[in-house]
Amino acid sequence: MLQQTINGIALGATYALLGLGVTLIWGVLRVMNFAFGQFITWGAFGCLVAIEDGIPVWLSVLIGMAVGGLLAVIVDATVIAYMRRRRSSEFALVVATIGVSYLLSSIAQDRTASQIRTFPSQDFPDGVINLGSVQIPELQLMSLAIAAVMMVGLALWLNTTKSGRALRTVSWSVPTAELLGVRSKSIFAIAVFISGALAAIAGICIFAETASISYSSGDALLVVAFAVIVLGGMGSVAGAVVGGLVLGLAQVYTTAYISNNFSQAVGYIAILLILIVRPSGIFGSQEEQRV
Amino acid sequence: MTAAGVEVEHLSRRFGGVLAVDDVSFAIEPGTITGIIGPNGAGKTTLLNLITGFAVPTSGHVRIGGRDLTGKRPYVVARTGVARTYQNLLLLEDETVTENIRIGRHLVDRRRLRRHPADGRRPAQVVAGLVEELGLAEVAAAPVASLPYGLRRRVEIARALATNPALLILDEPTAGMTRDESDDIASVVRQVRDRGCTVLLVEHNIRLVTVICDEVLVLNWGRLIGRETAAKVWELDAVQVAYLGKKPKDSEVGGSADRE
Amino acid sequence: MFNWLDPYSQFVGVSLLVNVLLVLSLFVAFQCGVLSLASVGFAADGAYTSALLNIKEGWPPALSIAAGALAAGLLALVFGRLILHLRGIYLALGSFALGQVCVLIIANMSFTGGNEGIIGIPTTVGLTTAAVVVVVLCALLQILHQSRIGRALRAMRLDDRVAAGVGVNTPAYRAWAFAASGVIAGLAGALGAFSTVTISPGQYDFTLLVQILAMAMIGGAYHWSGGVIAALVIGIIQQDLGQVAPLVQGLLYGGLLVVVMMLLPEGIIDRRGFRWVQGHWPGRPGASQAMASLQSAGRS
Repeated sequence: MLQQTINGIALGATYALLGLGVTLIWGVLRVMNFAFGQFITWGAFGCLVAIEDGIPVWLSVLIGMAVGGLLAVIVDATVIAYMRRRRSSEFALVVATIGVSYLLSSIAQDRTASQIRTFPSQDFPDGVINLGSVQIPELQLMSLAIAAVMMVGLALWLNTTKSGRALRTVSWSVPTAELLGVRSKSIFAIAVFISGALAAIAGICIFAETASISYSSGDALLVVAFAVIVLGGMGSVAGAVVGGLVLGLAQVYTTAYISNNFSQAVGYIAILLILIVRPSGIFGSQEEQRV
Repeated sequence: MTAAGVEVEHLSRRFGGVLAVDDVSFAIEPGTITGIIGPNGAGKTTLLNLITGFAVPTSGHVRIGGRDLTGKRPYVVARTGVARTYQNLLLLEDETVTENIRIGRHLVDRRRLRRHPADGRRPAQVVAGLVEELGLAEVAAAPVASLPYGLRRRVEIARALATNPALLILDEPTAGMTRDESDDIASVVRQVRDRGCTVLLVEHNIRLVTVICDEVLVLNWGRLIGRETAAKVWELDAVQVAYLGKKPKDSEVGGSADRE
Repeated sequence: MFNWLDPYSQFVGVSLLVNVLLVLSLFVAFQCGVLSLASVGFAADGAYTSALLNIKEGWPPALSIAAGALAAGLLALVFGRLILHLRGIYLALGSFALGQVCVLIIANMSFTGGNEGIIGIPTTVGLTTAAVVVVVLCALLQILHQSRIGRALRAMRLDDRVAAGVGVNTPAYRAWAFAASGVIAGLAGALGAFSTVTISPGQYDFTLLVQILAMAMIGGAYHWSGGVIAALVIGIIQQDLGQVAPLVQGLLYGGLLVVVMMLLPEGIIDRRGFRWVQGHWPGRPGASQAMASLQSAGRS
């Protein structure tokens, strides 16, 4: 049980990263970007290609993050920015991102010839640390450490630096932020880049563990990302962390104690349950809907 | 429709730490035209929202036509014969004027009634009649989004009238209108009352209020601070303080008219 | 009736019409503002219910199909109540989750044959049957469009509060629209099941959702004809292209979806387009008058 809990926490930490990526976008841009799954996939593939080209692992990871971040910025700067200018409806925006996701997925499918590739986990730490009755794979520790560093770094950035605070102002109100001299376009770009990078690193950690990756791997994690923010409350950083941990634990326990098959459904069921019971999530604010 | 009376008892609505509506009680006779005045932020629109179901009271009761409608959903309230317009205008922007008015006929627009309408008029006729009555003939087929503010207000009023209400609630209906235009609205309101409908009117235009209202309720800081016949409303201390900047004698009623 | 076509073309025609039904299922909810992404799941439910009733219980195909459609509708009615109070994006997300859970449950149960699916379904649905179903449904949708209910649904999509303010029971209308969406999707799934020998969970995947979503959004939320036209045209183009690489499919559907959302978010048949067609239809008495009043209104 303790073993599973630790596994769950490690997984949950990477899930939290996914949640943070989506929450950043939602909080700032009010967009639910279905293409996020592709940022995960492409970022992880970027890392994979770099490793296969002989680039040291740590650098490859950074390259992967950069790929994820850049892709996110490109998608945002083209499709999403255009539709924001046109004041498109929420629906149109979401559906457009679904289209982008499908487009990117097809390109990935084509380039990988629909094959599942092995993710070179041998290049990552693969030892095991024994703590009494519990075995902790070094890889999990690494994931946990990376996730923790990212979360703390993000929190620090948002609360102490000028650009981080600018981002919080923008997410509260764009006109106010602009009156205060914030260039919202650059803030959007920074937020989007970070979210893409987070997607990539989370994906890398998860794929390193499962040692496989295919063009559709990111999409499976997309559901997880949405489940995390729905659980934790959209737009809440603390919520993403808590939501990620809860979901990670739920997934691990389900696989261990119920059935392997249903672990796929955990994400979807979590979304449904939360939406039914408390749509605003654990940390979200209640929105009154009278009609 | 026979006119409905309104009874409001100890109605309150709290938003966090603020009492937007504070223990308001009044009764309105059916078939009268009653005005509600007060500075911005006095709670007038919140009061209307509480009466029409767009907000739930923290405490108190609302009775319309004798029926307890406290906390009921907007469509339930609407079905009892209550129609309203909105301070910030609520229109189907992409639809034409005619379509916007037509949706007001929803409850009566059944096939049976269309063939043998109770008041002898088919929906298209009713809509056309309202279009004429509110001077919208020129723009009947135009999308509402293309209309200037004053005309859009009139479309909203026409839609409210299309529901054949027993209680008509107007939230600042003449905002942005010229004197002639607001006089037109005044005569429409009188005709509506004559046809058998109670009217509740929130307005900043005191002149209009004194001309058509039987009685006036004065709201400030969420509380009902005065009730007077139209003729005497200017004499109310509260009104003079709020609208004319007179210094308050009574510390209960504080501040001037330009408060946010 | 369609015997002049070769069997393969007939089969293609049936799958085309099944897609049309799926698009109409999306339309029925979308016209009142509900973006339901659950239709693929409901189609799976309809398909499996009807197939199992026929194979395991021996029900005649027609009855099985009807039961499948109604079962899906019932599911939509019951579970719809749980998520329909949500607004916009949350509702889309919730319906997406609902649809996926439907398929996942089917894929993981033993009596449904798990991931292998079901085989041995009699192929009793031909092009004629499918065509009749679609035509009847379109006729019903047209009647709905012209009725006060259709008007109320359209108003709901533009502004819920306006509709509620004039007395429309918005929660009930939404629930029934979602249930209707479920029935139509279930019908599509059931008809599809009885036109092919096998069904499996894999065919109700995200790709299918994207395809019908593209067609539905291109068709627009104003009139049912938009979605039908989009589904037929895109479907025929897809057929002409033959077996295409995933890349081309992705470019076609994904790219089309993006471009249409960017340029024509209301779809090809929006309210203005529809009225324009009405106004120009030869022989309609009000045509020139409508044009004149539109022109003069534009001037003021």
